[in-house]
Amino acid sequence: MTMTATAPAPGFEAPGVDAFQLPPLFGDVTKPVLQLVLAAIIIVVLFRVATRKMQLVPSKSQFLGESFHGIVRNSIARDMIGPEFLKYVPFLTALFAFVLVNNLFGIIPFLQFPTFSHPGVPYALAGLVWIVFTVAGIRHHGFGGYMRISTWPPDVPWWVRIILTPIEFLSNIILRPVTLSLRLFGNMFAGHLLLVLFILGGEYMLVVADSILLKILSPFAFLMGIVFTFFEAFIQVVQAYIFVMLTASYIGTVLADDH
Amino acid sequence: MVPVMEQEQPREVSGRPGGKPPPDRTPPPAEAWTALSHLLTGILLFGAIGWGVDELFDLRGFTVAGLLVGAAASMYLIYVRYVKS
Repeated sequence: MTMTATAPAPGFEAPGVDAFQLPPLFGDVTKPVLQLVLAAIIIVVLFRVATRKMQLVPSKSQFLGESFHGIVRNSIARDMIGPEFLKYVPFLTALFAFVLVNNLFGIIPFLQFPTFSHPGVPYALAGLVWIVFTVAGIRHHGFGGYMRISTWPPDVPWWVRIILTPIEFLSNIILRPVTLSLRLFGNMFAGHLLLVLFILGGEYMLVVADSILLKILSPFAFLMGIVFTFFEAFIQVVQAYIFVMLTASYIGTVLADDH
Repeated sequence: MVPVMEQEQPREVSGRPGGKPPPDRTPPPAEAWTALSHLLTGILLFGAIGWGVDELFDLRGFTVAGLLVGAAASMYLIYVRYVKS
């Protein structure tokens, strides 16, 4: 007891944004950059293996690849996009795989960093999505037609349109990629922070703190860390799914004829 | 033979075996996100315009009025887009 009074341990500093500012590994290359490349390689290799010997009765790897493709094709693209969905399935499948693998890096031992917890990465991806659905809309309706279905609410008097059109323009054309990327970024950032907090907190309680009580209680912090790791796995899959589902729905919206 | 036939079914690409016809409008989950986006955009846009008027002319009350107008306008927009049509 006297020991804690005379030599107080340094207080616990909760992890913050600093936990995401990783030093460059070499040159300008940081861990997220490396993970993006790694994700691309993993996906290319896995799909190569899955499609190497295509058979009528699929092998195990072919079956897995086809199931993955089938999820995107049947429960995302076909429901969201409508008759022209097939054209967009390869893009959506690749997007789903890329977001999923990068999210799962957040809980894979030794990597343990979700790439999209750096906001710049989802911005870039959402920018790509914006280009895809804008081009799809303009090719389908022409520029005027695309603007009309995106910003011209039907059957309202002109003075109401003055109020409604800016809202729709902002919401549909400017803010869609922003919300798309911020949703992914926020979930990955918060999830990683939560895991770092529990693990570092547990370590502090066990190693640094001078209190027997904290040392005894520290396993519970680690236990929570493990529980939330499983929870994060779930969130990471769900967020990848939502990202692709919303991308498909944006494409579907710009392709839809007047509704 | 039967399993092979079953395997063949989902590989049909252009056809839509057993599938329901494509819905002609965006399905509910995405609609909900868009509606939420419209709602927030309206409130923020007109709130910002009202705030700008307040700041420029050294007035009060336009921020609140803008927020309310924005909320009403976005709700009406959601009604026009998703309920009426």
